[in-house]
Amino acid sequence: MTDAARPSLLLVDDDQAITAGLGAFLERSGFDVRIAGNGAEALAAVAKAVPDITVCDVVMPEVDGREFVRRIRAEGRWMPIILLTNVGESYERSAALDEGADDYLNKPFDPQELLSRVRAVLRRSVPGEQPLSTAERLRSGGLVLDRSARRAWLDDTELTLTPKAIMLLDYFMTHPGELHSRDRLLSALWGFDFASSTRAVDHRVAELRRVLGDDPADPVFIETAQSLGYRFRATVERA
Amino acid sequence: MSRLRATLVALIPLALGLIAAAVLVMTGERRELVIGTPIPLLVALVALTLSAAVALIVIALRRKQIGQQRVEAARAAGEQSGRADERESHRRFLARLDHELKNPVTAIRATLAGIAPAGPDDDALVVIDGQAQRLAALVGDLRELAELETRPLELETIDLEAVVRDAVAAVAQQRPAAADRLAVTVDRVPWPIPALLADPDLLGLAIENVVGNAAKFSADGPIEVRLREDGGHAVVEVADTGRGIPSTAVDLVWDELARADNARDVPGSGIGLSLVRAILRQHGGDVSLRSVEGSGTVVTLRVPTQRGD
Repeated sequence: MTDAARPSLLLVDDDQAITAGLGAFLERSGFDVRIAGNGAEALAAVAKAVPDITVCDVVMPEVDGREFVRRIRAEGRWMPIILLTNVGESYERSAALDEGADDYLNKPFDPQELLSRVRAVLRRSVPGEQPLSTAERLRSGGLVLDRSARRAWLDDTELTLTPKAIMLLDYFMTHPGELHSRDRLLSALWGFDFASSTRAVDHRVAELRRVLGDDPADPVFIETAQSLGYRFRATVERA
Repeated sequence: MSRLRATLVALIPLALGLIAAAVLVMTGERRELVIGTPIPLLVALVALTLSAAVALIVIALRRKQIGQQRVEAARAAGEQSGRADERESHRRFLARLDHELKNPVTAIRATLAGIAPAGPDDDALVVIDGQAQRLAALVGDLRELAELETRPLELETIDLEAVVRDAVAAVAQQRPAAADRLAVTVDRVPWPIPALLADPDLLGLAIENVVGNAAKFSADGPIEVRLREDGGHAVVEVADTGRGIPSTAVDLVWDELARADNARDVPGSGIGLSLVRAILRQHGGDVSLRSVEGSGTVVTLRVPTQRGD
């Protein structure tokens, strides 16, 4: 572990063109960067010194990104991991989280977006503690979410929500206090990169608010950051 | 059995009969056989013989027709399976292309970010960054298109009018200059459009795309969005008085990345209509287009009101 001013970051990708460029960018953005060419090298690097955060590609020779996450978590290490996924489908993306990654970005991504993800994950993670994304059930006040059963309750009454709204609630509750742009939510949950269709996000947020009885003018759970996006403002804990 | 052989077999009794008759004539056989038959029975026998002949002809024709139908059905099945194979191979190609383009585009953007972490400040870098972003968007669109063909729909009971009004409002918001030109009309007599089982996000995306195109390719003039029910389909028509599509390009605009020659000055990837078609087909519907260059375009989206599955 290094000093908080210059957190250590392990960057794992088998494509040197990516690690060279991204490594330089992250170094210049204030991180102490180490590079590994695949999952096996990354496991060795972690054994040598545990980084504050790991950014890891999924498709790699020998040990791939998912296997790397599984092995790290099996060792009981809870340092934050962001996966760089190569697949578009939403169940693949949520699988990335189910396997214990803290966040994911789909290639090709905006390096600035990666930087803001890295900073957000570092902000919300408590060293040595399991991230919310590995919890089976989450609680926020009277709201309880069973993540594997995809069911939710408010004050012990089960909520009727569409699968997409449950997925959005899951994303909000595993990323509390973070501002999410509509584009980010659309791309992360719907798999669309068509900026023109962000209304789909507004609709699902409206559905969540209606079911949760959350007043947009005085929200308990989901607040709107005008023209920027949405934020889950309530505190979330494991249930 | 070939037709010639069948004919030969059929002629064998006749040939044998003729040979026997000739032999009898040559041997001097002159006796006569006289059979007394009541006329009503004779009439009945003639009628029976005629019916049998007609029945044989009808059976022969029917067998021939069934044979032709079988050949047609086999040909159609073959063509359909060929088209499905072609679509699947095309989808795999798009997925591979996306996969192979991802890393180079990521590397270009990462390298640029390494050179100028706060964003490019040099003119040349701004161009490279802009073009890399464009490529990244294109890669994302291609992936989305490949994925749409196999992605399961998230079906809900929807009010199509609400989805249409929403898509129109979204376009009005993105293009305030076109807002006053957009009008939605809905046929409710003699019956309204029934609630549909559809994926509202995808259908909304398709409608928004078509309405967005109408706004993009018409500088002025009305844009009419018309909604009606037609023989088991909900129909959305989007009509504009814009620049239209040259007749030579009308059939090509559905292809990925295809853009008509008169559309090159308008930003866009040429993926929109392919996406619209993929979404409509996923819903068991279809989309068609009529256009006259210089006069305008009408795009018709049809979604079945009852799902077949």
